[in-house]
Amino acid sequence: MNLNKLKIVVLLFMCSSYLRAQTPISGIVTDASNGEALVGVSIYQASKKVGTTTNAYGFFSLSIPQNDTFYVSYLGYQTQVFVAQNQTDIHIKLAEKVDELQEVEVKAQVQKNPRLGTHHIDLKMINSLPAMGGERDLIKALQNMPGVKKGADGTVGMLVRGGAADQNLILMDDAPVYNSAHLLGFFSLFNTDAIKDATLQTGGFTASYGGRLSSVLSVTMNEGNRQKFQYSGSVGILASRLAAQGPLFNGKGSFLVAGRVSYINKVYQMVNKELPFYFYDINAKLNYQLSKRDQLFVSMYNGDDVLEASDADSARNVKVSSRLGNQISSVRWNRTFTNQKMFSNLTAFSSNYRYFIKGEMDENVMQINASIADLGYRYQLEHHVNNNLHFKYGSEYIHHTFVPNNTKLKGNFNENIKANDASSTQLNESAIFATASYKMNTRLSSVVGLRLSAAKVSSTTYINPEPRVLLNYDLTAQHAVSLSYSKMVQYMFLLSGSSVMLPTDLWYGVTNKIKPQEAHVFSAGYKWQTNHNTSRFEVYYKPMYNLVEYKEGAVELGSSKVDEVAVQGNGEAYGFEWMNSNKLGKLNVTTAYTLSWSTRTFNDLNEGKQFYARFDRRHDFNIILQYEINKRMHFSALWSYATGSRFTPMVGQFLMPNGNFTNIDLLPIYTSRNAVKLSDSHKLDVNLVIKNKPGKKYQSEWHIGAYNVYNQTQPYRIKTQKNSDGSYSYKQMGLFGFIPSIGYQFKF
Amino acid sequence: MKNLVYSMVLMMVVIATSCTPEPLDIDVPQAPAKTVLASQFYYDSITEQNAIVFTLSKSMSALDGRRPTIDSNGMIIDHDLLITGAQITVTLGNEVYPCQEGEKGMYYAFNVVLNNYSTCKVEAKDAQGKLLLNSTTTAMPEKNFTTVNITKEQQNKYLNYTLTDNPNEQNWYLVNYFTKQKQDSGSYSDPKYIARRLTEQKLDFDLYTDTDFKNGTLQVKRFLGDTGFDTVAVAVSSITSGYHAFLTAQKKYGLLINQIKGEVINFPTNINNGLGYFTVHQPKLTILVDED
Repeated sequence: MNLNKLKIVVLLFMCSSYLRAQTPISGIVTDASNGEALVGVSIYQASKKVGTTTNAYGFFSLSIPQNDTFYVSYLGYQTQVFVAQNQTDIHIKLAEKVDELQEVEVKAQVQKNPRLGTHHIDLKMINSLPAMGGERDLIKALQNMPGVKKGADGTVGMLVRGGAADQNLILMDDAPVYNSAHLLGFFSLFNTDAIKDATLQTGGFTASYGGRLSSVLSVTMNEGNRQKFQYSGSVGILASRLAAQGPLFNGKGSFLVAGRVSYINKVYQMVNKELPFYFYDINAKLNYQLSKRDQLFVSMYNGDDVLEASDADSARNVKVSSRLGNQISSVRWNRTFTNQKMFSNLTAFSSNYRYFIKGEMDENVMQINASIADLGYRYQLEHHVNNNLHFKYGSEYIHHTFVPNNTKLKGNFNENIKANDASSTQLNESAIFATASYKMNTRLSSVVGLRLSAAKVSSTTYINPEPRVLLNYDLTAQHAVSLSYSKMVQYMFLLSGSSVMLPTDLWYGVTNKIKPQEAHVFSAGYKWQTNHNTSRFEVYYKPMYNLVEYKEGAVELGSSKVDEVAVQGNGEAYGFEWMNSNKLGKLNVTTAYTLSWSTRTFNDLNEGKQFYARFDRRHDFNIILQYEINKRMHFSALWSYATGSRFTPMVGQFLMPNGNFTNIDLLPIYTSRNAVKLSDSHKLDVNLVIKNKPGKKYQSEWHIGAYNVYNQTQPYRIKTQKNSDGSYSYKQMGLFGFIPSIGYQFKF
Repeated sequence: MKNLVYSMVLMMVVIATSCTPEPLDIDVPQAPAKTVLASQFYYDSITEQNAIVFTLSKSMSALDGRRPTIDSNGMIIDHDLLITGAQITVTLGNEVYPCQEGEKGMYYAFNVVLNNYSTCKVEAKDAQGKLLLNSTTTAMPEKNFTTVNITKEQQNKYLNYTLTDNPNEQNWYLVNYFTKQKQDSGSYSDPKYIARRLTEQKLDFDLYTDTDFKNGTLQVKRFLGDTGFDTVAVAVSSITSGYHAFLTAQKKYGLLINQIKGEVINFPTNINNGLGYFTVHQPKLTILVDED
């Protein structure tokens, strides 16, 4: 045996010894104060640079040499140190760090954002951010992320990387959400009292999720305090919240009930104005530990927006009422397998978004209702083969039922308004998926997956393979680069007007004629992190195919035949994103910048010529300052700047006899589609939080803030306006100016 | 409770101090002015004379606040927008018909000979002989109702008509109907006026394509109401697909809700260097008298 062979034998012996000595460690990590599972906790053996993070249910599995120490750390919690001794089913309880929370914030944030195109939302940050009317909102906080653009000012529309508003898969405890807004989009349906965790993916998608082209927003609701009963709430100028949570079944379970109601209609009445619109919603969650390895969660959401208006002065009995909202529920079963290396989650869910509008005048009544109802399941098995190789496999199935524009008329109506007893249409959507996460060496890691999706509608079945690849290379401990590719396919779409988006916009599934939308998402990123600073740069390119828009001149009123009003075409989006988080003493500074382009080309629109998307904005810049004045006072400010969005104004008009040659119509001449750029917009929002003395059982906070401090117009459309001298001119209209706010929050 | 009271009081202060942002000016270049042409074939059954009637006008800026002034006969009397002194010639097959100018931007080609599906051309020049526009269309054949009548149910009257269609041809139809109107004054800013237009006005037209026919037959029942009329004029025409598309857009745009929520559209045209639509179709008129 020569020397080289001897070296190889010794090396193999050392490796096998090392492998034999590996000890499996697995279990769950929870918050010591309330028993809630913690997501994204880092468990790592520092000396070997081996580590993992807890999944969405707090579970982890790791193999490390026996008697080695490992660390468990999490944003804002005390790091704990353990010695590996073949521990399975361990339950690690992390306690919050009170005094040093700010010290670890940036570092922990870095550990929680390892993936390209993934943003983990810090809910504590949301609570201290300025907000319109003082109402904290998850989606409005997401609008400050790079790559995410908002729609009209103050609304919760989310347009990701040049995509449309319907290209975001929004999940609440794994159940899809079809309308995430209240009050015409000015509030999201996520009650911040009920949210535990939220993650937004804008690129580098895993195979586990699909069905939308542009993003996946996964929101997990709080499970409820397992240690004690707790109550919290708030009173604001537009809405109030109340939540209760506590242990059940001798600590084997817990519950949470959170409700919210707006009274903007009442507030307006106080100042002799009329806004007959309000909303309410209720979240409820129950969890129960069936056995040491099995956990059951039941989640429910119910919310409605209600409009009730009538003309008291009218002798014609004019009344308009509408009710629209979501009913969402899911049942989830988590299981940890006996080998402690496998973890499964089975979710059965239903989601129903529906609206009902009723208009009455004299004896004439018009009723319109529409809905989308889902029933489905999702199963995922996670297999931790070893520290370097993890698998996720699973399947999902959704049965969609669409009822578009069912219109009933009683009385006499113009022939243009037609009754429409639209029958429901069905769409069956299914997918199987597998993902392998493999660490090739200490620097290079990959996540490779394949999703095979299918949709069946009447006589047509669409089948699409959707490959997903993400490569990450650590240049040094502080610098990393990433590359990713994802193919995304979307089998349903929301038809929205090109100028106005409304909650009554209709969801449709693909048809024999309307093909599934597709996108290829290419992205590359660079990340640089230190203890007090994190910078992320990403570039992306996203060609999109079979996008759906209304035909020119299409009208949805009374129409249920989507094939007659929709056309398909292609789109292209590309851009550069930068995000930086910096800690300067007591000051946290977060900046985000996006440079992007988004265009569309439809044979049947704009004479076949390429045009800009409605919310194509070249530059988006946000800067958030958060300053801890002292232990009881916290100040934050948000300044945002955005290039103007696009609009199609009327630029001429002409006279034309009507079809009877008995009267004259004035017909419009428009610019080419989205040809005019609105003015750039910018605004400053501020918020001051004043807490009561720490250590008290009853904790309270005053939030004093202002939205759009210097009353800058954020244009969203152009209208012609008559001037005082009788002439006409174009004006860019904004929605919200300076709005001061005050709110009071409490918890005990 | 004390905090709650404070909050309510502060809320009132906050609402009272909120501001509405000032609209911003923006300069949007206007569409260049174009000549607009509209046409209609007219037949007088008493004199047995016919004419193709043209109106010629100018498009205007979107910031032009002028609205057309219409007389009691539905004629434009807003002279600024109408083009007078123009020279219009119509060519039907080998025959050329120079138009006579009437009042208020209207031009007439009298006693034309129409051959079904023959090519019709129009050319308009200004007073100096400069070409304003030209266009070509097809003379559409006459079409009649299979049945047409008025029925009465309780206090309401209905217009009923039947059309038959050759399934081997592609056809597009226009049906116009008129009743005596109530006095119709008001503005679009008045909800009661809009409601009345929606529910009472009986001056309308319907558009059909082959897909509306079942086994070659179309049966239609139109509500006319009980508005004190005793006579209904109803006409059917076979029209080109292009004019059908134009009228479809025009009809949709006429609804107020569609002007707010409908998709923007630039109206189709078959006019070179202009706007509007050149059509030569022959309405077949039927007068129905309600004996009650």
